[in-house]
Amino acid sequence: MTVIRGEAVRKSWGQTVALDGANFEIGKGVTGLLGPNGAGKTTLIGLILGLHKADSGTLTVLGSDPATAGPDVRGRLGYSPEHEALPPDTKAQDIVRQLAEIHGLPRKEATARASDVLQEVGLGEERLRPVGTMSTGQKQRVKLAQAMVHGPDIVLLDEPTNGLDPVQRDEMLDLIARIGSKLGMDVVLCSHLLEEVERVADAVVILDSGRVARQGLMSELAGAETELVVTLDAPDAAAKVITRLKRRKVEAREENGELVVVLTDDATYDAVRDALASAGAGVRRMGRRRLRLEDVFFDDSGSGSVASSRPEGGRR
Amino acid sequence: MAFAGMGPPVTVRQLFALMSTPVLLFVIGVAPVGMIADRRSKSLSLYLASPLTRETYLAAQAAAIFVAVCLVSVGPPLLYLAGNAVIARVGFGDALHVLRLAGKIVLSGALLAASYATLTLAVASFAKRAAAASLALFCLAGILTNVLAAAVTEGVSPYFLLIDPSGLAAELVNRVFGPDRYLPRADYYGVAGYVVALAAIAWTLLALGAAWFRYHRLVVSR
Repeated sequence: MTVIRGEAVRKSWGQTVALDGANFEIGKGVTGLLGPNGAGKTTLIGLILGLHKADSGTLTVLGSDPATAGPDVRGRLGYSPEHEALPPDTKAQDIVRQLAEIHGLPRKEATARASDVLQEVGLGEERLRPVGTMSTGQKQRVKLAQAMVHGPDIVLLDEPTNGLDPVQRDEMLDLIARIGSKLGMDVVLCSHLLEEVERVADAVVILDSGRVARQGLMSELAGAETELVVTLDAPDAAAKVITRLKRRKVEAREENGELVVVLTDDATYDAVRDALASAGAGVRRMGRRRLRLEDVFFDDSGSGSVASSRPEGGRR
Repeated sequence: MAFAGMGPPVTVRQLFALMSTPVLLFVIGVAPVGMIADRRSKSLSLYLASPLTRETYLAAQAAAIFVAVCLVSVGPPLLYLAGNAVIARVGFGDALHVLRLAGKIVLSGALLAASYATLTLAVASFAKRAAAASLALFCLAGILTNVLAAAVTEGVSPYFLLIDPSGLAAELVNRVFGPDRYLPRADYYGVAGYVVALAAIAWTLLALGAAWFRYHRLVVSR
């Protein structure tokens, strides 16, 4: 089921084109909105919230146009901005309660919900501290708490792991995954980090220079093309094996002296075994390799500006 | 307009005039802080990501400033009036007079608060820092008023006073209470009441329009 749909969405800021005819669909679950800095992610979030209007194209959020039905749409959304956006002198509990009230919750219920949600994000003990005295990780949690305090249908998280150390980042990603699964809210996770999108997202929309470079379910984009990597005793034997595999309609290639076979079903293993035996090739190591989102992204956009925590050599 | 039959040291009207300085100080020092803090801390993006629109946000801010200024402008004169009424044990005849005075206090305080609230809204919309907003308000509500009053005393047309929004608010209070010969005031001699009212309304609309224009163009998430 589609919760957010964009057709030929275009938005410019002066001479700068932020979104250039983006077509996309965001469904239920956790969706990663991935792209390098300047790809148009934050502009798209602003359009989804109805904070600005698209120059052209159609955008539908939960069945409504946010440009015309902004307050109704925003009432069903939660938003955690990329930048620090919390008044430093206000207690975490107060700001979360206040935003719950603005979303229409009665004061008593808003107070209770603020406590609950701050507990949920791990700030139960810290909720009465002024936000200005909190660490970056705690502030990110407060932002997350205020985004979900009113029980929205969709939570928009713009770079929620910015400024976090690795441990805090892991905890934040676990929290986001929990929002999507346990709390039943759909999540749009804006990020320029491939690994975190891979880790928590069910689907991904990859933006590059204002266009959608690719989109779909993670399993479709990255999971389908699992490969078998075989390191042979004699690298020159790879050509013989590939010839035999192609006769059995199995796709294979040589890569950095290794034999790479595209796995389609279990019969492929039999074909590889037979081809190796028939070519007399000795095997030193064999293992499966799953295509990663990074491979998909670089194949499509050719951009190198999306950050990855993997080393250079990790890229195919 | 002395308080009937009790001979208090100052009249309610005079107290109201005395209160104009604390009101002005409150407006200059406190009123613009909230709006500017929202923009500087970027909390505005959180508020506008809620069912609030830019218009409802501004309306809420204006209402908050209005109520706060009303507490300062209306509260003390009303308390003074109530205190004197209790001390004098006013009878039925005087009670009507007290109620009429209370009505004038509320009306005058509300006019003053509305004028200052919209002025603050406009200035705070454009200023980047609270100190800059305070300075601008001081120039508008403090210096301009005195310069124009001095100019009119020197023979400049009293219609020049209409370009002073803060002075207009004070003049509206004068018109509500009537003249008090013990109070200094800018000389609006010959300027009709409806002209003063129209000028005050025009300033209010202009200030609201300026704030709306600024917030309408403000990019809060990009």
